[in-house]
Amino acid sequence: MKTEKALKKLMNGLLLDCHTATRYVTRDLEGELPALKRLRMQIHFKVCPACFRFYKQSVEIQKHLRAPWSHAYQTGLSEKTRARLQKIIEEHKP
Amino acid sequence: MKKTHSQPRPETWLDRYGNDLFAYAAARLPRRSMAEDMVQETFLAALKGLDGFRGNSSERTWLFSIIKRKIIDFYRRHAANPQQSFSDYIMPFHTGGQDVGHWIESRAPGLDSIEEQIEGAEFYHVMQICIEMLPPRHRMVFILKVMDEYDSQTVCDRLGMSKNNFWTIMHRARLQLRECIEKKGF
Repeated sequence: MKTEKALKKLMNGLLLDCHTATRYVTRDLEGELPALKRLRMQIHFKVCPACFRFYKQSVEIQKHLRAPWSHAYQTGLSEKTRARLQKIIEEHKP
Repeated sequence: MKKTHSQPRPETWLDRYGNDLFAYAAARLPRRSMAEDMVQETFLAALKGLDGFRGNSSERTWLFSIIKRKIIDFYRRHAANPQQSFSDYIMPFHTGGQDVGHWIESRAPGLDSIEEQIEGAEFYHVMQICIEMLPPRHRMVFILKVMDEYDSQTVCDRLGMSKNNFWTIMHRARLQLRECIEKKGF
């Protein structure tokens, strides 16, 4: 009976709902999830493909967000703004 | 011996740093015009503070530190407005019944890879739209942590928030962003 109770307690401790699992993913992506919680998250992934997909998608998004953004703004400053900024610099420089 | 950098040369700023500063601001602000104004404010602040430049860092680092500070100030001002910092995002989990805490099926992640679904430039475009849809405070927390890679304590200190609040915002921002990107911004 004692063993059964202990086992049940262990299982309850290991099982997560998806809300908690996704909170763990958020912390894990920032490298701030303790080892035991990480284990619980990975066990949850085995039984929940949606949360595992959430994890994989979040990793993809993270990768893109940390890539340099300058290529997304190849147009740069408009000519009108450049002219305005040039004027401001000329007027204010010592 | 400590390396010192040469005196700033404002006449070269526009050509050397203008587009990079703009790209940095444009990735973090909701509108192109705001990013252009932010570059202008940065140059003006730098021109006013020329005497304070001691050459401990490069001209580029100095200008970027100014624009970073200005963007944080921008979000701090906006986040102080409760109406604008309110998130109307409804969490994609059941709140009652036997499925409490689990995904609402229609809102659960459906794709193994969103990269394969949305490629290259379109991915960035969709991501930009979705980041803009985050409430200002959430956007700032997310940008500082994920894009600028500040540690969580620094973000909390700068924005004056608790660690619990920080993780709640990060969690909601990630859920909202993922869902938005999977739906291609709709």
